[in-house]
Parts: sequence; structure tokens; C-alpha cells
Amino acid sequence: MKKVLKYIFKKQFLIIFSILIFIALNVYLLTFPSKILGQIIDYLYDIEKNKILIINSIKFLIIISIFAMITRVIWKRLIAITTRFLEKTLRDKLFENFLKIKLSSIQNIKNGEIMSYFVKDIGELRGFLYRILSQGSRIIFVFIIATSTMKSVNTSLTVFTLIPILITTFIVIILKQYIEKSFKKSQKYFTALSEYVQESTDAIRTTKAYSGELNQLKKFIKKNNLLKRSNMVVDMYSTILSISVAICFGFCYGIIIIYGSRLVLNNIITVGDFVAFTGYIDLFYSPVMWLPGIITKFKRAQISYGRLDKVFNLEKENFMLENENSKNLIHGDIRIENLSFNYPENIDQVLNNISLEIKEGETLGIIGTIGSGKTTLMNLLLRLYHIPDGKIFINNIDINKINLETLRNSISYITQDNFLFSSTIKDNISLFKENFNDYEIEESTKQSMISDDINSMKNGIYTIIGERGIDLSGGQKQRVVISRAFLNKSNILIFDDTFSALDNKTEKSVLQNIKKLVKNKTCIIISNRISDVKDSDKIIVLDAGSIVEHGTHQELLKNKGLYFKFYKQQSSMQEDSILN
Amino acid sequence: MRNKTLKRCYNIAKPHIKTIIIVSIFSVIIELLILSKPYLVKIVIDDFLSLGISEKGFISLNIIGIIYICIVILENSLDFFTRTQTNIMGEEILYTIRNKIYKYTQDANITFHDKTPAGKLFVRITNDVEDISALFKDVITTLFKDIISIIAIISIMIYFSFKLSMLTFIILPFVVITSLSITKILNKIYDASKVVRTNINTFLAESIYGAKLIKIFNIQKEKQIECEKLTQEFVDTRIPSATYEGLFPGLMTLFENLAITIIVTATINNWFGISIEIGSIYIFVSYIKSLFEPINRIIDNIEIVQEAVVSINKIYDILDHKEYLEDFEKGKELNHVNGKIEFKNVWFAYEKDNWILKNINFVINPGETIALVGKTGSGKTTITNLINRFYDVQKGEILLDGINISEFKKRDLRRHIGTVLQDPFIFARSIKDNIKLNKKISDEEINNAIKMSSATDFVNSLPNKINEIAKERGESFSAGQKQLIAFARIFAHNPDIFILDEATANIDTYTENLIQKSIDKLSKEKTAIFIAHRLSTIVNVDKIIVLDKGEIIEQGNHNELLQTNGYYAKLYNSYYESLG
Repeated sequence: MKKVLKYIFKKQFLIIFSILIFIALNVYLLTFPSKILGQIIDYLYDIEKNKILIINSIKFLIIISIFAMITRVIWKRLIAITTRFLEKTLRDKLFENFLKIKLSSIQNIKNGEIMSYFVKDIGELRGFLYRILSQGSRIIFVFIIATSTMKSVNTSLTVFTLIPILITTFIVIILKQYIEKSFKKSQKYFTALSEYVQESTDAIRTTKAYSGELNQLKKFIKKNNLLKRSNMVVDMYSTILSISVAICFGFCYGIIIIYGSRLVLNNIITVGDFVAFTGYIDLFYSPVMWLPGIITKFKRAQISYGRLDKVFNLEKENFMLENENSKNLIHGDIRIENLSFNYPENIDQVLNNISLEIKEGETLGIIGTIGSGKTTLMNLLLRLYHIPDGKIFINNIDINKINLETLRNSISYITQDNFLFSSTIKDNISLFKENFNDYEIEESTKQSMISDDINSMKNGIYTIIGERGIDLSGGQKQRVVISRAFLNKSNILIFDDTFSALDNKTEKSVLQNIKKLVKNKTCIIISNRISDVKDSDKIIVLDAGSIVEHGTHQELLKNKGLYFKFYKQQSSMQEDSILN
Repeated sequence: MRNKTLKRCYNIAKPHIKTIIIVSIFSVIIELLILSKPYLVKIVIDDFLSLGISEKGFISLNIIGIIYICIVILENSLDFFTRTQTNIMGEEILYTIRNKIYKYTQDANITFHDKTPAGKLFVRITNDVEDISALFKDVITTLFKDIISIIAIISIMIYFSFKLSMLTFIILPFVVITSLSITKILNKIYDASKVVRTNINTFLAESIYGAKLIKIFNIQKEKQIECEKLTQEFVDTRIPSATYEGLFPGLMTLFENLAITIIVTATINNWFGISIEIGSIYIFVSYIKSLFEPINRIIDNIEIVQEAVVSINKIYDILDHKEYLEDFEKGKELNHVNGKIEFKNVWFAYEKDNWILKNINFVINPGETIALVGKTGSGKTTITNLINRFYDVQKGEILLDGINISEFKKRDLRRHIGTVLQDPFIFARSIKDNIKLNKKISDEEINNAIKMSSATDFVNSLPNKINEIAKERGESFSAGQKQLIAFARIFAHNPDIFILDEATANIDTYTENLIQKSIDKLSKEKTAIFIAHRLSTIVNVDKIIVLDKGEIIEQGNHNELLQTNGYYAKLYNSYYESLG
């Protein structure tokens, strides 16, 4: 994290420096209009004599305003460039890091939480940089430049008028804390109300079936009332804030009228100075209001920095290995020896002393109850979690010794959650890799029996699906996912419960195509259905992390063990797809 | 259309007319007080400083200074009062509108909810109401105030010097045009960048969700490229806004100074015979400055008003559809139910003439258990929805104990019917509350219900037992566990008629048997309707009704239907064959 920030500041140092220069210039220029107006008023007492002076002043006034405008546009733009650069770089780097982090390090962080790192925390840092550059610097410059301009007119008047301004600053800082606090509270109530609304609109059928409408409404009114009251408190504090600032600045004017006019009468300052002073006071108005905002922003940025730093420091996957094996795709036998595993920070053993061997060209079927460790075993095969050396071998090479990229490229793992990106069907099958042409992709969709569905769509494989496109049914999604297996030239294929949403006929066809595909490859099929695994060369039955039975379909039936029990259950269990 | 909107706004504001009138009157007073301040300074300059005196009759500079401060205090006290009043009014309006829509969603029938996505309702109650908030809390008062202040400033300026005013006003059209066009350009940029931001967020959310998939298929590089492309696009669309944001205040200062130039030049050159006192020049300068502010604010407010009007119309377009509202209390009381259900020539369509049920006739006698069998879309669930009166039939009638169900109070009817759905809804409350659902049920009864649904082990495994708070939508529980809670719910409520809609789909065979026994025990004297896809649950029922495309094609018990050798027999036999 520090490294990233250092890089950003190194790249943006010149811009930041120029921002400060231009802001200083802009603030300096903005003190002129009041000064010139004052001058003009003094000149006006003898118009005839000062006519040329007045015209010159006016010209000067217009030129100054134009320059003030130009400097303002420049620093505004420069700040936008710097802050957006910070935001973009942080987001890109965080994303890069996120994709490298070990699965075991992020699995305990909720998705929403990770999302908030990208959106909220980076936003906080950008917001802080923006405030410090645009407002923080102006607060300082206004106090320095405006005060010195005022002092050059009259010191005592400056001191007298600055006193109410300083008092206001304190009041604002204190009141802002209350506003912040009450605002947080009202936001909390708003979230509570939103969640409640979301829940009850989703639950409407249940509510109606149990006639709970009145009770739901009563609870809503209660929450709504809390929100209303807390909002009123926020409004109240904000009103008090702006009113007290207005009163304090009113006092400044009052002081100028009483004390400043005395100075005019004593010929210490001119009427023009008197008028200019009222203009200088206005310059302080915004900075006083900004100050507390910067303080709270700083606190939030600190918290966000800490959170982001933690993510940047999470353990990464090790892609590079010292004695790297060839980059060619690996193939061949898979051998697992006495593998036991439990997830970090979990006591229960997920896998218990697993040993098995799959020869190249063989298909292994895995069947087991929910939570028996099937998916975990596959995760380990892809090195999504760390295992000790000497446990899993592919082609007699320890997988810990295989380049991670090569390993994962060699294995096509079709997962059970049919997650699709909101992009085209093509992207979802090729997974954004550009080395496949349309023909290859269409071929793969034929194999997974989805091509008819795709052809009926207007844009074919270029149809956009997901959040920004059309919604596919569960079965369609599954077949899109399966297409990946037919497209990838991997030597090892894994199908993890990927046929559950397919009807019998489609399932049979897909399985037949898979059989052709994996002829000389290593294949693993995981399923709860006997019909999916019964043709495998070898079947293992997993229960609570251990292999309890293994053999062929016929052998296992004779065994009369767990496999046989599944078989019987499924015989008496009518599947949805049959009745449909 | 416009009239309708106006009427809707009027209806919203009607209960607060008194506040609006008082606030408006106060605003006029406040505005006059604000405008009197530069006038006091003018008096100081023209009547005292220019003449070199500090006292004139009873009035001295000190008294003017004190009057000035008094005016500031009075003005701000009044302002405090009006702001507080409008804030309270705004919050009350929002509170009422939120309650109204929420009540509508609760009272609206299922047809409404079928047509309206839950997400849409959520946006109405939260975001749309927030949009209105700005209208009633800020605009309604500032708009009035701003108009008054523009009128007042212009008339006072004209009072001092008609000719000079006319000359200065030349600048105003430029102010309006600049303000309008920059606002428009900025909104365009903001809208464009909002689209990109949404794309980034969707991309990030997906990548986070699909992190494992990205690792499995090694597409980190592809995703990184996509990320950087999107973030760059955001930077490119967003940065131009800074130029305009910087330009706007710069241009306004320039216009101010141009106005000053006009005033001063006209005075010194005696254009059109213009000649005014120096103090009046001060007044002109300060008034022209305070004229810009309300003009710009009104232009800003145009958009707020537009947004609010859109939101108001969206909300009232829902509220005005009274035909969807259900009346729970209309009709006869229903205290005792025997449980005879009779469908007589029932026709039903969700959309006109697209008949989902065609001439359905069947009788369920008290205490009988029946099963509905058929493909997806054959009308099984629709039949149960009609018994609940989630929808009303178009032709024919449904009788409960010989009386048409539309004669009963809906609330009573639904109280006697208990439904368990395939995907039951779990509220983010304790298990206990999820089972009770607002009804008074003792802990003992709840524990009993949990036992009957075989959920004791599951509930006891939770850290807080029955007081364990479920996550949103019961996400912390598996589908099967959610169904167990739903069963406990129905056992605790002990209705007279049971409806189970594929309620055991995610429960393993063993637990299902246990629950089945509990249901059998309970439903011995009660009417029960099953929609199930496992034969084991159907085989023993009193009657099986086979539906196809909204028509009953077979009726009878298991053995009878097997003997007829029709649709049901075919289904039954095909599954056993498929298992081989």
C-alpha cells in the first residue's frame, strides 16, 4: 500500500506542486476586487480629477477577474487529474492484488466487504486528497493572504474582525461533530428501514398466507418514525450551524460599522478601505465552513487506509517457482497419497487420509453426501489451498512443484455454481481469452446441447447475458458452463455436480459427448446421481471426508454398502424431471 | 397530465397549508431585513463618513452598528424558526408518504406483486421518497424566498435609480444563459460517468463473486486488462467536469465585476444623466451580487423539481390503483372449519383469456389427503393459490364446507390454511419469531413444533438455539434447514387445512420420512394437499389429481391410477426403467 501511494505521489508530485501555486495565485487575485472597489469609491469623491485613475482601476478589475477565472479552471482541472489518477491507480492495483490473494485468505471476508474496499475506502482516500488540495490549501492561503492584505490596511481593525471569525470556527467544529453523529444515526435508521422494506416485499406471500399485514405495517411505522425523528435532529443541528455562522459574520460587519467608521473619521483609513474590508470578510466565509469537513475526512481516510493496507498485505499465491517445470500442458495419471486436510481456522477434518489413483484415459466417478469433501478434494487438486509436499502427484510430479499457471491451464474444472459474467455468451465460454474463434465456440455449444437455445437468440453467441442482458434458466446456465470443457484443450477434466439442472434426455446426450471428449484424457465426474457416475471406470464413495467404498458400478452394487443405499433411495425417489 | 401532477402535489401539501403560509410571510420579512443591511452601510457612508460626522441628531454611528447587529439577530432568529418549521413539515410529508406506500404494498393483492418486481417497490419507498424530500424541505421555501428576493432587489434598485438599474440588468440574461448551459453540460457529464461507474461496480462485484473461477481458469490477466480499461474510461469521462466546475464561479465573479464596471462608468461619465451618491453605488454593488445567488439557485432547483415530480408521479401511479387492494375484513367470520373443499367448474387466468385452469372439478372431503401431480405450468400451484384466495376465480366457484370462499373474511380464511413452499421465506429475526410470525404461541408449543418437524437437532446445534437470529433471507441456513423451519411454523400454527408445495424437495429421504409421520399424525382429521415430486410422498394419499395444461386428466388413488394405465402409470413406470 505504501509502495503504491509512493508511486502515485512520485508521478503526481509536479502536478500537486502546480496545484498549490495556482491556488495561492487564485486566492491572491480574489483579494483584488474588494481592494479595487474600495479604491474606486475613494476616487469617486473627486470624479473629475480621478477619471483616468478610475478607468484604469476598472480595466484592472476586469483583467484580474479574467485571470482569477483562468487560474481557477487550471487548478480545478489539475486536482481532478491527480485525484482521479489516485483513484484509478489504487483500484487497478487493488484489483491486481485481489486476484493474487490466496483463496484461504479471502474466503472469510464477505463479498460486500471486499466490494466496499474498492468503492468506499478508495473513495474515501480520493475524497480526502481532494479536500486537502482544494479546500485545505485554500483555508491556509485565505488566512495568510487575506489577513496580510487586511493588516496592510489596519492592524487593530483586522484583529477585531478576526475574533468573531475564530469564534465561529470553533463553534463550527464542535457543531459539526454533533451533526456527524446524528447523521450517522439517521443513516443507520435509513438502512434499517431499507432492509425491512426489502425483506417484507420479498416475503409478501408468506405474510399474506399468515395474515401478517397489519403487524408488518405496525413495525414499519415504528421504524419510519425513528427515521423521521433522527432526520429532524440532523436538520436541527444543521440549521443551528448555519444560523450561528451567519450571526457571527453579522457581528464582524457590526464591528466594521462601529470601529471602522471611527477609523475613517479619524482619517486613519479611507471610506474605500472601509468598503473593501466588508469584502475581505466574505472571503473567510467558505473556509470556516470547510474546516470541520477536512477533520472528519482525515479520520475516515485514516481508517480506510488501514483497511486497504490490510488487504494489500494478505498472503498471495506463489506463481513463480525456482525449479520451474516446463510450460507445456501437463497430462497423465493423478495420484493422491494419504491426503488429509482441514480449512484454516477450522477444527473439523474435511478430508481424511485419502489415497487414490486415476490413470490417463480413465474416468473417475465420485459420489457422496453433502459436505463429504468432494469439492474440497478438487480445490486441492487445483492448488486453491495449500497442501504439504508429497501428497498429490500428476504424472509423478508433486503438484507443489508444478508452475501454478500450467497446472490450472491443464485442468478444466467445471464448478457446480453456474456463475456467469454479465457479458456475451462467447466471453462466458471462452472466458475472455481471445485465441478461440466463433466456429470453435459454436462447436463447443453443440457438444453441450445449448446451441439450439443460443441459435434462437437474435445475437447468437454474442447475446449478452446476466445483469445487463437476458436471464438464462438454471439448465441453460449449466450448459453454457459445460461448454467451457469442450472448448478448452485441457488434458484433465473435472465436472463437479454440473448436471443437476438438466433433464434426463439432455443429460444423457451431454454425458455421451463428454465420454467422446475424454477418451485419452483424465476425467473426474462428481455427482449425487447414480446415473451420472455409473459408467465410470472407477467410482469412489466419499462420506465425511473418507473413501468408504470404491470399485465399479456392478462391484459396488454387490457390496450392499452406502452406494447400494443411494441406489435404492434414488429408485424410490421420483425426480422432479420425471414428473415434469 | 400536468394538472394531475399539480393536484398530487397539492394533496401532499394540503395538511401543511398553515405552515406554508406562515413560512412564506416570514420569508418576506427575512428578505426585507437582509436587504436593509446594505442600506444601513449606505447611510453610514453617505450621511456620516462622507460628511465627516459621527452623530446626526439622535442617531450616531454606534447606534447604527447596534441596529445592524440587532437586525442580524432578528433575521436569523426568524430564519431559524422558518427553517425548523419547513424541515419538520418535510419530514412529516416523507413519513406520511412512506407509510402510505408501505401500507399499499401490504394491502395489495398477489396479482399486483406478480406484476411489480420487489426491487421496484423498494426503490419507490426509499430512493423516490428521498427525491421528493429535497422538494419539500428546500425548494418549496427557497423558491418562494428567492423569487421574493429577486423582486425586492430589482424594485429597490429601480427606486434608487431607474436608468442605472436598466443598464446593470443588461448583464442578467448572460448570467441566466451561462448558468443554464453549464448546468446542462455538467449534468450530461455526470450522467455519462454514472453509467461508467455502474459498469465498474458490476464488473468488480462479479469478479469478487467469481474470484475462484478466475483462479481456476487462469484469467487474471484478461480481467486486469478489463479493469484498467474501465477505470480509464471513468477518468476520461469524469475529468472534463472539473473545467466547467471551475469556470462557473469564475464567470459569476466576472459578471459581478462587469456589473460594477457598468455602474461606475455610467456614474463617472454621467451617462443618461446618471449621478448618484457614493453610498448608493455601494448598495448597487452589493445588491447586484445578491441578485446572482437566487437566480442560480432557481436554475439549480429546476432539476430538483423535475426529479421530484417524476418521483411523485411514480409513487402516485401505484397508490392510485385502488383495484389491487385487498379488503381483509369484508365478509363472514370463519370460526370453525370442517375442511371440505370443492372446486366447481373453476376457470382461471392470470392474464385475460390465457386460461391456466380450465373447468376444474374435484372434491376433497374433510380429513382427506390429496396430491396434485403434473408438469411445471400445469396449474398445480395455481390451485393452491386459489384456495388461499391469493387470486379470485373468473368462472365457477370454490366452496369451503359448502360456502363460497369469497364470502369469508380473507383474514379468517388464510388463518385456517397453512402453506409450506419449496423456498420458504425466512425473516431476519430469531428462529422463534420466524415460527411464531406475530401470533401468540408459547415456548412449549414452539419446541413441540420443532420436534414434530425433526428440526430439534438442527436448532440445538445453533449457538443461541431458538433465539438464534437468522441472516437476511435465512442465508445462513441451507435450503433444507429453511424448509424445516417452515414446517415448524406450520406445526405451531396448526391450521385446519395443510398445503405443502414441493415442501420437502431439499430434505433428505430420512428426515422427510420423519416429517411425513408428523404430518400424517396431524392431518389425520385435517384436509391436506400435497404438491410433490417424490413418489414416496404420493403413493399413500387418498386421491391423486393429475393435471395437464390446466385440465384434470386423471383422478383416483395410486392403485386405481396404475390400473387405468394412463399418464400417471406411464410416469411411474418410466422412472424405474431409467434406473435400470
